[in-house]
Amino acid sequence: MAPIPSLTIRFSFKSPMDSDDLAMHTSKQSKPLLRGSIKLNDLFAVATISAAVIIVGLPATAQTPAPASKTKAETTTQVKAEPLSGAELWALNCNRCHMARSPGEFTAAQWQTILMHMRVRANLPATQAREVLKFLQAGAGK
Amino acid sequence: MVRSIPTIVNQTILCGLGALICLLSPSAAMAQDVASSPPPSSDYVSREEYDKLKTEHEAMKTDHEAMKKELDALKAVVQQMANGTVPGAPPEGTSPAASPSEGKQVVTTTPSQPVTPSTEAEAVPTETSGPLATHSFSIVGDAEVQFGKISGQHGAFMLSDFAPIFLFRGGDKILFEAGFDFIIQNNAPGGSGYSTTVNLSFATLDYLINDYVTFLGGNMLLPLGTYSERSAGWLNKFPDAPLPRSVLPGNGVGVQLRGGIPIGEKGQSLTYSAFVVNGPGSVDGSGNADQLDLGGNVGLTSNGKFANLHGGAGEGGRIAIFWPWKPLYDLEVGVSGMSSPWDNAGRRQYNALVADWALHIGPSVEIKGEYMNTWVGTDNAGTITPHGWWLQAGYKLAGLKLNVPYLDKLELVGRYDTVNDGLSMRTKRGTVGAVYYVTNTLWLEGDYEFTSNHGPNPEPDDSLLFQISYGF
Repeated sequence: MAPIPSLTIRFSFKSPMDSDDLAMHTSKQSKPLLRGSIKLNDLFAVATISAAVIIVGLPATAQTPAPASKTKAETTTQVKAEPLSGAELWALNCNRCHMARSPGEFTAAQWQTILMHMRVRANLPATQAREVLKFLQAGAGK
Repeated sequence: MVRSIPTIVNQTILCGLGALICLLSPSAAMAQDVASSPPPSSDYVSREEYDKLKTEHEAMKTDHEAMKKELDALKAVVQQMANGTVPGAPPEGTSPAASPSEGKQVVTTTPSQPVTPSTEAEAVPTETSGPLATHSFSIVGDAEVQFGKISGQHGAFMLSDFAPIFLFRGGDKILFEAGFDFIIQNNAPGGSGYSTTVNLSFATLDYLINDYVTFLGGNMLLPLGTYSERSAGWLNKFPDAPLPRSVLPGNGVGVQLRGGIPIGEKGQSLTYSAFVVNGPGSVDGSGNADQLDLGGNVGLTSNGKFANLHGGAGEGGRIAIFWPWKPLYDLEVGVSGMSSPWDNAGRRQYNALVADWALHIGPSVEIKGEYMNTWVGTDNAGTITPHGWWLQAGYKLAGLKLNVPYLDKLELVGRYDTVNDGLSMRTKRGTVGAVYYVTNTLWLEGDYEFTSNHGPNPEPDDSLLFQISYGF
């Protein structure tokens, strides 16, 4: 049995004080300052701003749904394997034994008769035969 | 101008404190808002909005996966259409095959609708406003024209077969189908003119009991292996049948139950067939080994008597599994068998066991074959075991993606088949050839067969065959 594909929800929230922005901001400012002799004061200023950012960021983080804190069951949703469509079943079943016939080759009424014939001949499951029939009749010739 | 260090320190400290005060103020206000209710600011996402977005995302993901699968399948078929190995696209705007998006539209609008045969007919758009007629008559089938050159003989054109299949549908559950073979042959040496032969290949009344069981009655193709049911000229990639099919009956008169059961979401299915027929007969009524007649016991003797030649019945069936794992990649494996008395006294038994398989690896590669073994009780030779097997493979050059117009429509084919009649004759044959697909149902086939016979009356050896096959 093929594994059922899973869907992982990743929530992305762009904040004005996003950590990426912060990293860029600090790097731009700290490099020229480090060249000077007032390193201590610069560090103090940076630390102060950083503390402010953290404090500001906390409420926003608390308010925003936090995917990281959610359980795996909550963040991972199993996508149910959908049954194959009529088009897929048409390609799958017809090409097993012969070249697939184009929907426009026969009328809708003829397709109904031919699909009954093929359902019997190829032992097609009824549900699949009906889906193929719908696909073929939708594009049937006039 | 250089400022003094204390001045810079003071400015920096002031800037830092100012920034801290500015940032802490909104923080405190927001903390209060959070405690009471979510802020209305558009910069934040509430739980409700998150859940809604999550649901929408999941739905889109599901739709995306379904569309991707469908698109893959359609791509493969459309590719074949482009290569001429599948019919040309239907008229624009009328066929889902012409456009994946159109196909998707059709498919997505219909699956949720309950499908019953009656409503499904009414739901189909036609040129008239009413529902489709409940009864319908159609003709499908195939025709072949052949040229053959057998070693040691003159080459000749032959109309080998014209094989229409008449289909009459009576409502949603009843189908009558009959297949004929019209063949013209030169009369025997010494005679003049030619004769036309008409064979009834099959004629069955089918009744769809439910989704899983269909009843067949009449002269039916027997599901011993797959070849007998899938041997039309535009299905078989070779002009002739595999040799070992001669050890099996092709059809029989009786009744049959058959059907398919879906066993997965990827199109997998389990199929079955179970039949009771008159079974093989004997040419002269005896149980001598050379008198076995695999197709002659149709229930009505030439003198008008209505009788099974041996009074017994032949029972058999086939069970198979069809397992696609992705579009155009699939494997079918089946096992079938049959047991029946065959001499008029009903004392000698004919038993057959067949294994069949078919593998498709993408749109270009097909490998399939059958193995069959039979056990025939006889009056004069004990139990003989006619048997054989065949294996064939085909490769469509379109798979090489050369994009050369004519090469892309070509399929190289090869087959090996062997048969042992259980008495004294053994034949081995290797065939190489090609199929050129003019359209999906019009083929040009060319094959060279290397035949090796061992026995008292060997068949003619190597042969060259060309065939035009058309399915309609």
